[in-house]
Amino acid sequence: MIDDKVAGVIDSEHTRKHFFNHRHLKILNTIAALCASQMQLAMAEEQKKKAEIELLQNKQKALESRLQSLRLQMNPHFLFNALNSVQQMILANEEMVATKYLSRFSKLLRAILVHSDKEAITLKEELEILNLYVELESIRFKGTFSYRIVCDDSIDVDEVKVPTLLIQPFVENAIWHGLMHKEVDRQLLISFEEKEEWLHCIVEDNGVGRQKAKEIKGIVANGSSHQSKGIAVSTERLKAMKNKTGAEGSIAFTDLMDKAGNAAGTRVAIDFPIQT
Amino acid sequence: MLKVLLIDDEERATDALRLMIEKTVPAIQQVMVCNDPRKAADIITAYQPALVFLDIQMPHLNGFELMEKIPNKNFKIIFTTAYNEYAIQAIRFSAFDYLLKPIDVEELQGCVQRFLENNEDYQQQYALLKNIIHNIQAPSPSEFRLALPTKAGVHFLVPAEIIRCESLGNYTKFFMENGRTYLISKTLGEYDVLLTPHHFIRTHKSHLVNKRFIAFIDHDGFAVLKDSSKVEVSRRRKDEVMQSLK
Repeated sequence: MIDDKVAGVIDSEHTRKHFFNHRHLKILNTIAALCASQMQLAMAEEQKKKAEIELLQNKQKALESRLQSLRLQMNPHFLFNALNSVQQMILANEEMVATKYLSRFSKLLRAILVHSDKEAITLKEELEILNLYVELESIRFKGTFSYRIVCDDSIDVDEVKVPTLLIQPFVENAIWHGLMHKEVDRQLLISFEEKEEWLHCIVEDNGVGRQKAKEIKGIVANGSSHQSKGIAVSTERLKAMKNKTGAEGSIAFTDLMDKAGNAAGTRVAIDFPIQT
Repeated sequence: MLKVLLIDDEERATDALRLMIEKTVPAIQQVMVCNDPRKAADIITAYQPALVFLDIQMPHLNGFELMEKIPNKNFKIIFTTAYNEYAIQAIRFSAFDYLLKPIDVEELQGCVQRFLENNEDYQQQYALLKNIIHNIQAPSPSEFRLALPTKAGVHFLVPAEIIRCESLGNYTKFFMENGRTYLISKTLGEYDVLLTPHHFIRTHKSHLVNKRFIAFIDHDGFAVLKDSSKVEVSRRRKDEVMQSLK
């Protein structure tokens, strides 16, 4: 018997009738009890092993999804292009530029590594990451676009929390697909405002507009879907952010037009309830 | 006199490659740079480079689109890219030269050396380029075509129709579903890397087999294929092979 359940039966027969007596029964009983306890031990051990394996598997899964989110947050294409510009600076003997670029790059990489496993960081930290990212891209493109990152003074950037790297994919998209296809006067604006417990973020470029950018993307779209993935992840995360009344965070794209009705850039408005 | 043209929208990228060539590849005497892919066609016509280093992802026109626009491609193309796994797979399936940024000096020198030693067949290059574009535009990598360049011409194979590959020294022999065979002067290891994601398994150091064609493993430990050929399975790989058949 194990845990009040019959685990096995010892069946004994002998050619002679009434051969088995009480002593036999006692011995058999002892053997059965010993077997039962051994079986119990083995079963317990097996269960323990199973639990351990499951725990390890769960840990692995958690690690994988964290790595996945890190990879999504930081476009490898950006990483290698950044390293490539460092190589150029070294070859061109631009020691000071290379030194500055490399230290900014390390700061950004460190911030991403430190924050990647957090669901949310303070607005101050997010602003720092955005600043570093945009500055690095600006150096890489030799200052061919100008940018402003503004945050309303009334916001307590140390207290307000934002989902980690929520805004970065939109900024990347604005630079790579909005501004880089434009010839001159490339401008990028990122702003944060607070209104009645909601944070309003604007990412605006004066680039070629979404329609044109889509046409240009053309046949390597398959390989460059990273940005759209990043944006999809950010959209999912925004939807999950609800305030007490159940209102969700949202994203709105606006195609900007000049007076003549030509495409004049893209504005992305990202709104979500403030969390502290 | 060896003339090369570098095409990349990013000034720092062409600058890096130009400086690296000037410092480490004496065989190249002239380097011309183009940062606007829309002007590249005219520059190629006027400048007549022997070698073109071409970035893949560029605004306005990507590297593939640009090459489609140029009629006489009597120059060797070497693709450069920082990161684009999909495009790199498509390129490798076409046995085309490419360099990853930041560029490794030795790989650059290797590319140039190969160009100098071999007589480039630009007709073959054109067929391979078309194959890259076919692969890039394929809805999924399962429709990629594998290019096998030979002296007589290029063969394009669909991985799903390859039964197995066998190593013969520095050569690899391909056995097709339709009974054809091809002997290619590349090692099996190179195809192992390419075909493993396409349901192939290395059963033995000399054999790379399409899992879909394995019928069963016989008592002697050989893999019996659907064309009734027998392929050796090494003792160490047996478990993995059995596992993959489930």
